[in-house]
Amino acid sequence: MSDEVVASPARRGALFWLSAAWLAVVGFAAIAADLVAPHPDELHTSDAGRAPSWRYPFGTSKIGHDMLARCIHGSRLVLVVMLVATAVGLVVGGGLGVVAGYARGWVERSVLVVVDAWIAVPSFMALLAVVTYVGRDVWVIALALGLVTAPMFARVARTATRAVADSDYVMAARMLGATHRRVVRREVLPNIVLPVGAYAFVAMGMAMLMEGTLTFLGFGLNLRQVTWGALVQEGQRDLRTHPWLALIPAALFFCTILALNVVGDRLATHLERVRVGASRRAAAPAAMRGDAAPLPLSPDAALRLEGVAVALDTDAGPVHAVRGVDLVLRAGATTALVGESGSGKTMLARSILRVLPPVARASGRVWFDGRDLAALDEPALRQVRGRRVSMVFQDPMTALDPVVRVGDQVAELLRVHLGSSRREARRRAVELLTEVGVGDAPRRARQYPHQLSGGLRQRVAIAMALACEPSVLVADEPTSALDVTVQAQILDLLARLQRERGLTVLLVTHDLGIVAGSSDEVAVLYAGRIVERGTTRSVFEAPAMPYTQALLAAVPRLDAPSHVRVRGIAGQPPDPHVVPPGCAYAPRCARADDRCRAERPALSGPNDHEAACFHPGADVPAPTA
Amino acid sequence: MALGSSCVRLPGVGGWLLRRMASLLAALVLVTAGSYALIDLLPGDPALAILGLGATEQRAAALRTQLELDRPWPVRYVHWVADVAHGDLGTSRRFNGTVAEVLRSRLPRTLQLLVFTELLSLMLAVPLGLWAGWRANTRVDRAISSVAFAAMALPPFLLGLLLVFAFSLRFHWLPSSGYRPLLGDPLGALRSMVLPGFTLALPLAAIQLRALRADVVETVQHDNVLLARANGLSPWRILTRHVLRQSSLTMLTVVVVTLPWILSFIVVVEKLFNTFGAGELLSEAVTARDFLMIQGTVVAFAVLYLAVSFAIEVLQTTLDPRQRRS
Repeated sequence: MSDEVVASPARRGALFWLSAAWLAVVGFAAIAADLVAPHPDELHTSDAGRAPSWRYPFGTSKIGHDMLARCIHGSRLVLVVMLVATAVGLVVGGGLGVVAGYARGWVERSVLVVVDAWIAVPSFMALLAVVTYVGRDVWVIALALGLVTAPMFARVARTATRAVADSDYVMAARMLGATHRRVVRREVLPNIVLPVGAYAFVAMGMAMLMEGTLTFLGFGLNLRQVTWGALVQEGQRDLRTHPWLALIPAALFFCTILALNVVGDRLATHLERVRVGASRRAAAPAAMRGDAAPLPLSPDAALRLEGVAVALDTDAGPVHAVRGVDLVLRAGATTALVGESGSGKTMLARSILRVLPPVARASGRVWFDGRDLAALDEPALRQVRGRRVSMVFQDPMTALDPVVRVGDQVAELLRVHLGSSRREARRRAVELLTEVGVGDAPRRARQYPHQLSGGLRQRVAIAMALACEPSVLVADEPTSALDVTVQAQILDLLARLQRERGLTVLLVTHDLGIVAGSSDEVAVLYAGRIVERGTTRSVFEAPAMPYTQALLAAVPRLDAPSHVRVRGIAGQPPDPHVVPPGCAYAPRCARADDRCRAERPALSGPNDHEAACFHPGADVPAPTA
Repeated sequence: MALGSSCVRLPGVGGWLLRRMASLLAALVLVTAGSYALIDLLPGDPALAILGLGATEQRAAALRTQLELDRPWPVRYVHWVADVAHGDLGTSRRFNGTVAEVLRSRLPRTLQLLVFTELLSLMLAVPLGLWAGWRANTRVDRAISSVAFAAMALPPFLLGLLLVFAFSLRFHWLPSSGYRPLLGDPLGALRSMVLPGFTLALPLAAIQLRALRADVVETVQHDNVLLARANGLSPWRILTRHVLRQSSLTMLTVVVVTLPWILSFIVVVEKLFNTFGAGELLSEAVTARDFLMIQGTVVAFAVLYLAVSFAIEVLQTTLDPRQRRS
């Protein structure tokens, strides 16, 4: 399991600190070169041409230079050029970026045009032109390198500035009459320091690489003072006999550039994590039902979930999306799974066929056709997916492959699962499209998803789901992304197909309005647990749990007197990182007492209507909010 | 058509190419005109700088006339542009012959290496990038991504020296220098391109792999891939039939965006491996301060870049049904 977990912060840290330490060592060596290695030009003639050893860790040159001393001194100019270049890039590019991101309009557009053109120049050619025509002075090369890194600085600074300039507090400051200068200095600059600073490390690496490459080609600094690049260039002639002379300084480039990249990358990642929120740790994994003996499927159950839990590993700690759900889908019936966003209903629906994100860990049992789907390996599960149990997703805009014709997408399933011939699959695909109400199906089958309306696309997705005649259909918010009129059509289609084919349907939705007319049973999900379930009629007529009552009260009703206000639910949905010991709804519940907060209620009540509540009942005191 | 609005070409696709061409052209003018301006603006006598301080005044004067150094740089620049427009890139001083002739003999070598490098890089980047993206945040992904991250920091000169040292000097498996035409001597050509090809392709593949991985991570989260899984398609089928097709568009963009990178470092690699290509020509011309040759090579590379960008743009439009007229 641990190999599925995102890298732990500790491991990221180790590499980061190692890189920072290396940069510190290089920096210290450059500054204190005269103290650390006072005689770089001293010749140890008796030890000339020695390979690296304890005495000469970097070996000696053919005439007896201590290469370690030379490398230490060689780092000085490299670092000066690198730092000056980055400073130039930071000031020029960063400045342009801030102006562009803050001013917007034509200023931003013209800056972007310049920046794009600038990036498209093979930078090395430009550098070569500069050293040819201007000369090989330290400052010239540093300035030129700075101009090479400037456009990327401009992009980073612009993006960061835009993000800040759009924020509420900058808007507020502007409205309170702060001057542009003040807003930029007080609000914008402090907020772009981190992203631009993170990029500065990457830019330093780039400047270093460019400088080294120039020097290696013999176009670098025209100086007596040694640099790493000059050492590589000098040493490559003796690569056969004295390989360390070129390879060690070249490796120094690699280590330093890598360290710069690591530091830059980690700073940028850190930045993202700060945005996501402070790292949080959950107390304990979700409590689940123990390994009970497999329950036989009751004759009328098409599919039965037992203790299903899903946890998602995120940088901010595990998110317990589903916390142990038992649910029976009655054969030939439609069961509605209702919950607000974040209640875990989508994860629960996906855990049936185990189509979960890579960071998800699922547990529990999914009984179907006498087998536990959760225990099947992937190849065996693929025989069930799409063939015995299939799914329809929420957004038909994204659920179809945009670059494959819709008819081919339907036909693909027939070919893969049923082994149909190409022609047979194509013919059947058109039939299926006609069956789900796609008009002019032969023509539509040859079109791409973007050429179809949302409703038509959802019909195509339903045709795909039904292509192999499954017995169970999981529809995850199949109508939420559609227009209201189309919603009704799709629901009618699902109801018709369900009747005609005797399908078992799990209809996942947040919309209680569509549940009443289109389901036989309802299960209400809150914070990853089922808090109430029963026949649709019974739950709608006499909701027992205060959350269900609040949900129903929040549905606008046409038949209610006009003075009855639609009520929202007070408070926030629960934090999925935290598993409360008691009832998850307690913090928002008017009836909650100490017991609710300390102890979790189990589902109880008659078989056709259960609720997980210590204070079930019809009488709801009005929320205070 | 009934769905007229959704069949309209996406805005900005053609415009994007135009803008890119225009900006590249602007950059080209900036670099070449800048070169002319710099010669005039900088202190010192350019003729002496070319010939060396020991040159006689007679020879310097002859050179000044030949290079029109007695006229202001905008005039010289306009003359040069007019000549280029007529296909005349001038005459090289360092290499015997016209700039166009020299380029014609050198460019094929560079093109051969360029194509080989790009193929090698894509062969590495595409499967590994797909795999890493598909198994995002697992051990496999972390291993692949870490190696790629490190490879990005590899200076081509270090990689080149290492490869030459290991495969050429130590084991004598592969030649460390030279050029063989692919048509005349296919095996020899491949052998001679392995080391320079890998020197460029490894860091390039690292850049492309990371871009592809990021794109696949996003594509895989799309509902259409999720639906393909829910419909029981195998990972192999999903990756090759659906994810790769969608991500190939991004991949082509990455190929264009990384072109300046290759064109920059091909100069180093050609010098390191003595392939006598256009990149090496450029560094020789810089050493010899052969201005017309430098200008000519830069123009040739820019045209190459434009041509490849354009070809890939056209390819993308045909591959993506959303960008086609129906």
